[in-house]
Amino acid sequence: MASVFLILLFWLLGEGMSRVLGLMPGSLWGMALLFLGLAAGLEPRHLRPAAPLLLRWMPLFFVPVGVGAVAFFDLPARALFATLAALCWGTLFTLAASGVWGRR
Amino acid sequence: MSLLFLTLAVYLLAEALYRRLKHPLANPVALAVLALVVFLRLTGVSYAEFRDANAPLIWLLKPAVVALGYALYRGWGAIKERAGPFLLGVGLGSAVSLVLTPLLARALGAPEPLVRALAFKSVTSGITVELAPRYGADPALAVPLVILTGVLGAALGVPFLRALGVRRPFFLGTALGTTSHGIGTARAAEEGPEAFAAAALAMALAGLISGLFAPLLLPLIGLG
Repeated sequence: MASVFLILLFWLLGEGMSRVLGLMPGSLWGMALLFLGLAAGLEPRHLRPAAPLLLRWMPLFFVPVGVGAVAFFDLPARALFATLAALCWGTLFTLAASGVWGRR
Repeated sequence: MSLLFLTLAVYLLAEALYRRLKHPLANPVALAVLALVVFLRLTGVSYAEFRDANAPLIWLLKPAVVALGYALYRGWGAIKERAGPFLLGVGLGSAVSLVLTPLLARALGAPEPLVRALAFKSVTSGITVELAPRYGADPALAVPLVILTGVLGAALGVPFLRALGVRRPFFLGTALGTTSHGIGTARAAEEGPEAFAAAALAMALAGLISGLFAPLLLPLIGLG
């Protein structure tokens, strides 16, 4: 239970940061603060089992949002094509920009 | 409520299928989403009704995003010696994705809601759900594009990067995780443990960096 409490605590701190500084959503601030907390000496074992469990099941949690894809059936073909073309080219450019530093 | 259990059942089935097929393109998320989309189309259940029934699952994304801080910490040790090129790759890749993808979409004539949604195409879905609404993008449009980017990067990433002269597993992993988040990380696992560790860390870090870059970069292209 302590690990659940810690996750909620960092989330709450994150929401506070989001209110005060803005910039990012509270959960993302919570992620950054949890990383900093661990780097500052918080024992990773205190985050078990909650953190690994949440990470293990995270894909399940966003499946319902992905089902929003039903809306793509109602798009005009031209809009769909433009979107998919931008996604393909964008993916290649992102791969290149992130991987090219390891060329040899 | 029964729609929530449907999601659960379909996802568990998709995972079982994925374990049997062992192919990164048969990703459980992509399979489950596809099956549920077909279900909604056939039954006529509206997306709004489906989403409301699944609200408890979606809510759990918030603490799961916090837990990514744990993944970030655990992964850091594996990349320490190559932090320079790693951070450069994740940072530049995230910036390119945030700015270039919507610009391309706009140039190609995509409608504005999709231009906005495409900015988050390389941000892991949990973080996209949190981040997209702040920039006028609908998570229900953005997340399917995120998943598609995952599948596409997993399919094309390795041959494309090899053609560019990127051969070391560590950097293949960095690019796959930055570009294609969780699905790319599953693909990176096939290139060995080093590629997997780099990809898992790149995924989490790219999400955080995108959250930091978005308020700086998106206003520059009119998506503030």
